[in-house]
Amino acid sequence: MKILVAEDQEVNFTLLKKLLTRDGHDVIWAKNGLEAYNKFIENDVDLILMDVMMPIMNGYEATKKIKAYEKKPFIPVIFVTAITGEEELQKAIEAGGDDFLSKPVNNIVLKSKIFALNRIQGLYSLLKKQNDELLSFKKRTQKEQKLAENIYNNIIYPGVSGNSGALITHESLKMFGGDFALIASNPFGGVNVLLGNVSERGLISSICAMQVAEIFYSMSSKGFHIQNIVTSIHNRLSNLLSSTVNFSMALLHVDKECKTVTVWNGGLPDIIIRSGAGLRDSVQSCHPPIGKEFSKDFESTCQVFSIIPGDRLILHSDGMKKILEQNSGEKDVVSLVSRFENGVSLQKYIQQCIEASKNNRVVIDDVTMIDLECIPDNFRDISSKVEHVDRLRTKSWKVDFDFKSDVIKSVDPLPHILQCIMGIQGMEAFKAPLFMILSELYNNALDHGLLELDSSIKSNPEGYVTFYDERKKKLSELANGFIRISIENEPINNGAVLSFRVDDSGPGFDQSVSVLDIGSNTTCSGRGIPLLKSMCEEVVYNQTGNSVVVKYRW
Amino acid sequence: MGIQVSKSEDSNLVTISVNGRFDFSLHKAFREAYKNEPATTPFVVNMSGADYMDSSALGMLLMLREHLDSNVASVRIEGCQPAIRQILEISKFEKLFEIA
Repeated sequence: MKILVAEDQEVNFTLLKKLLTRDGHDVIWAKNGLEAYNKFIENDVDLILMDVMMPIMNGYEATKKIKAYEKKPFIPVIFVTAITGEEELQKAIEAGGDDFLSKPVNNIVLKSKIFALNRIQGLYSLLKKQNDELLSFKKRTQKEQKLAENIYNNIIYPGVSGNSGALITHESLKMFGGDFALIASNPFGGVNVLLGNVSERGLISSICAMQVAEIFYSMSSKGFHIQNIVTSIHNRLSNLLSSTVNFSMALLHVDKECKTVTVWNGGLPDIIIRSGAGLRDSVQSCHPPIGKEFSKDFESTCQVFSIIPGDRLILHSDGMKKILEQNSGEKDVVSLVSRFENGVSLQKYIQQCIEASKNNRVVIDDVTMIDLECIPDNFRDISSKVEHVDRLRTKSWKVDFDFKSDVIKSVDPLPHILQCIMGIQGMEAFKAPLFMILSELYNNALDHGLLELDSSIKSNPEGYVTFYDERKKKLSELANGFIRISIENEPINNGAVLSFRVDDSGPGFDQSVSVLDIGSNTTCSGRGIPLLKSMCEEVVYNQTGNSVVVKYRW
Repeated sequence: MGIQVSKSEDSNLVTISVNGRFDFSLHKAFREAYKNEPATTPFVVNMSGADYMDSSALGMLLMLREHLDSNVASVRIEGCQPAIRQILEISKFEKLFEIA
């Protein structure tokens, strides 16, 4: 140990130094209190032996200053004194002294006291270290909770608009408790609704919720089927979650006419479909929650139910199920909930239950419910509120493809064209209409232009087979010719116009035969061009019928 | 990818699942799925795996419908992605099929 000895008498110091160095300690000498204080600051001493009566600054003053110095850990101070008066001893303790040693110093007593105080110092440092850790942990936890709250309030909630026909009840404990509700529209109409519950609280659940919300909003706005959304959420979370955390979720899509609801329920209580008279259906969870341990059982299969406009869909969390059971005394929550004729009265009842549980000091979990009234008008409302971020970022571009006969014979160019467009301009939601347009244009150019096939062959089932057999044969014999495709995107207010121009080297075909109204056509062919005309703003063929321009607004 | 056919054991409902790209490239496999079934067999076409379709697929669906006796058996098209559903709607297919 490094021991500082404050002693004005050299004789006394020499004696102490002899004893201490014999036990292997390093000794530093200070001749008065002020020097002791300065040397204490300059050196990393482990213990101080302090005389009381010294010139310039006495031992009491020096000890007070040393003990007031905050930047050093606990350093024991032993007063070495000839004074034995009780008052003097009291003064020494008040000044911050930790022990006494009377002069003349006894070697064994000195040794024992140094040993004892060293032990206390060890305990003290350990305690301080643990305390510091605890404090920084507490600070970190507070920060994390704040962050969790911010994530919840700012990132997860903005998609939920007030006037969507959805009533959301959410009661959470102090920190973000794992439940969250999301609603988004689909560019093709209808809404997607998600109720999720993470089995852990705090930051983990917030991060999880953030990931889910990001996937949910972006895929919904791009028009993905909920089956694809479920799969993406599963893939993301099963990598992210540790094996002890699970994510229960109900995800559903209601079509724009409110005729069907498509449901995926993994681990949440029954979804209630309530019709005018009462319960229409309830959808049990038929999948395990999402998480590492269930990963091999994962399936994205959805169930489809018929509904009618005006039906209500009620999704709720385990917390709500519990609180309803506790307060109503009923076991059958589905029948209890379906007795409420509208969302507002149900919400009121739940609030009462929450209050009652709080008053009875029953610990409550997160209580979350989404009550969605399926009315087409409400859905149109959400659609107009949700900004299609991708559309805002449309770019101006043009690509040209020139396919010669040897390519046309051996390669199916459509997937490549589609991939090329997706690479330039993310337009996932429009992949299907885009494919349809390209497929109609390319196949018309090939079948009726280059191969000169007559589409009327297709009017009956046998002819359909004949047509494609013939096509295969002629295609393999194709010796020359080309199909040129130009695609150009021009951003306009609130979207863009995608123009396609397709030219082929064929003699042209008479496209005017297919002007038949698409709705009254019950034959198996002749739908291509009418379909294009209903989906696109403009479909114009040239006189010959071997060049066409199509404009699609998106 | 392509076409998968399954027949339920209790009823004689046949489910044709279409995956990926629904166009003329599937016409043989699609036809095989119903060709040997009697006109009284009800069909479900599960489209949940279909990403794209064009007018040739519409023709194929209509041929399946023509194969059946419309008084006895019907075709239900289910699980359409919204964009595919839109194509069916534009073609007024809800008049001819049950679309769920």
